[in-house]
Amino acid sequence: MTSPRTTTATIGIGVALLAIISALLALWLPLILVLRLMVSAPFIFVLPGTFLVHAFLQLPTRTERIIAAILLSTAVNTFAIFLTEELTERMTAMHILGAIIAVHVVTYGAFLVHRAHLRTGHQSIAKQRTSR
Amino acid sequence: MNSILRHLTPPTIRFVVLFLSYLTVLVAATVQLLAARELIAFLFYASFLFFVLVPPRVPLLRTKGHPTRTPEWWYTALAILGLLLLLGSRIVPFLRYGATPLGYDTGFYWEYFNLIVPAQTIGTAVGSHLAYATWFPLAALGLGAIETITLLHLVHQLLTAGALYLLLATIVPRRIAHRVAACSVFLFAVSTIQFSAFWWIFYKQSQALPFFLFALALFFRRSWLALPIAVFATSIHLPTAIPLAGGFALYVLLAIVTPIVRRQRIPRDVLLLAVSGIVALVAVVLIRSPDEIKGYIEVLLQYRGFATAAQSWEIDRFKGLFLPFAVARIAALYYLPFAFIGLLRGVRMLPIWRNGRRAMSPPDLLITAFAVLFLLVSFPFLHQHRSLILFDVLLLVLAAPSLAWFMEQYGSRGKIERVTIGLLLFGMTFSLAFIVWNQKPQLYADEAAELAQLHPRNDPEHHIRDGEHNYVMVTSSLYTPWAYAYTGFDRTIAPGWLRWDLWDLPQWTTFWTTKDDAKRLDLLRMYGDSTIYIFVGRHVLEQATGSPMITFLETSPYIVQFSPHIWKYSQYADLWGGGIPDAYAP
Repeated sequence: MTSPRTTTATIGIGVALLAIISALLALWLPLILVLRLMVSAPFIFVLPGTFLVHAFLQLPTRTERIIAAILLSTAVNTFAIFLTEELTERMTAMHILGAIIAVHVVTYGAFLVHRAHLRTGHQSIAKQRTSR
Repeated sequence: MNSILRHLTPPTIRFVVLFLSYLTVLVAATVQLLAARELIAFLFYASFLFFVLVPPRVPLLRTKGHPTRTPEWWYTALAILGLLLLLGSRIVPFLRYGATPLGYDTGFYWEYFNLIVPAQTIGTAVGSHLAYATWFPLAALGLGAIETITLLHLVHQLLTAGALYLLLATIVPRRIAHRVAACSVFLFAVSTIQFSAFWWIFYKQSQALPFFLFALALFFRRSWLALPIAVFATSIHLPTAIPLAGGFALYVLLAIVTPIVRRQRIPRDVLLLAVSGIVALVAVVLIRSPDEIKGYIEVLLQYRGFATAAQSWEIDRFKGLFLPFAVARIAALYYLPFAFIGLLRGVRMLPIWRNGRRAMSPPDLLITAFAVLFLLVSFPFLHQHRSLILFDVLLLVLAAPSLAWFMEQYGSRGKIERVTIGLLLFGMTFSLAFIVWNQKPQLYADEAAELAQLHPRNDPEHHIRDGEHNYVMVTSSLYTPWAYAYTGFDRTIAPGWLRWDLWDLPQWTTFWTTKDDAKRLDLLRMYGDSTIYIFVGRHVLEQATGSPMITFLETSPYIVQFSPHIWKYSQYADLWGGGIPDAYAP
């Protein structure tokens, strides 16, 4: 049985790879339009939202979790691109790639920090965040 | 007599009063809009719903303990049907009328796209940077302006349906959450007001709306994420936030004042909410820039909040260029009774009806927001018509539980009742389909092709638009963004818009109405020796055929018909000979 630390590291590496691969696919591979859109559009990158949903929202059904993940992903990805544009005043493919990777890393970091909190005995805080 | 009085128990009196109030409000909402026969039919429909949903002797709020009889999959199917209708209704105009079948603003967003995407930065080209940030990744993939804008606009519709599902699943008991949420998705899909909002391509409002609903759902779940999401949505479209912020402020105010009046301590939660509101306000100012917020406040103060304080030709623009309240009420007839019954349930939940036994609870925010929105859409405030979009969403939120309850209560009685429900859903779907099918584009594909001929890209050797001082002119502001976009965002003369217009309103009025063609020629000569391509689209031709302006275009020796909807004016008509180009020759 693998230790929690190994599992976390594996997930982390997987996330980073997925983010890089999907961003590369999105930006450079000449795929057909629909496929490119599915892989690429920032709101389809649901991983950041999924991390946030798992860390900060305890939703009762899968449908609600998926919807919340899509909405949260749209918001954080859009905000990351907006922030990159505001800070650099340029928006090349590399900037977009950077923004997408950064948002994956930050939200995954938030997920890890939250899990560490839970592990150190803050379960009650997490429960208070549950609506019902 | 005694037997009648014996039946007049308090529950009966309460029921009768409730029913009469219900009918009175519905009559007041529709009496000026419907013919007598239609009004009677509507009142029968509304009364039928009332007697099913609020049976006498059953408390209005008693929903607990009733077994749910309709299977869960039925509601899943309803939600899927809703999503299919949503997609279908939004795609059909594109299938029928080509790439740009939607309303007026497409052209302006198209221009914004052309300004910011090639420059690879937003800079000072447009306000609300957050709204346009998502264009860059799609443009980097090689998508053009229209594809990017339209695809994202469609995605925002799906996001709104999802956010509505989440909101309804949050505010009703878990046991019936999926059922009510599925009904809300269906109602959103068949709402002709929401379709109209999509059609008019209120891009930023459509983009912000799902996040406002999401923020509300998170607020009701007491999640801190509600704050950043609300800030995000507000930063995208500030005017949509104002009614909700008003509702929030009223809600917090009531939640603070109520315990003060009762000589109780103000709950910590309420103070936290007030502080959160202030933090959100500061964050929005930082994201949107203080100058931009100042601009909004200046407009608000200049017109004292009322669109009617503007010049007569500006009123529609300040109201938001959308359906008037009366038309929206007609469009909402199917679910208006459901929403009103939902409102009655909601109002009954307010603490003032409960002798102060309960503090303000989160769902009360919906009622305060409804009250503020009702005020904003009923009087000619700035953005009055645009507020209808949010008002309609709140109607859907109130109607969805009633619709689900109706299906549960009535559909479980027998086959005929289930057929009746089927007919009701079919009626709603048919109503949407009718509106979608009859929604004509502002610019038809053939007209777009005619305008595109004047684009420098399609005329590289300047055979058509020779020289640097040629203009494209539209005689109606309806066509401004279209002519401007399709001819390459250059010298476009349009009434009251864009910098090339040299005429004021009286001069435009002269051009539209005078019978003296010499005056028209004098006006055109203000543009020197330029050639002017005058575009008169089908919508104007339908109304103005035979008018002095059209007669002038058809008969003036200085003007020749260039294509079916474009007339070419030049002082030197004899030099180029005129005639319709081969491509458009009959």
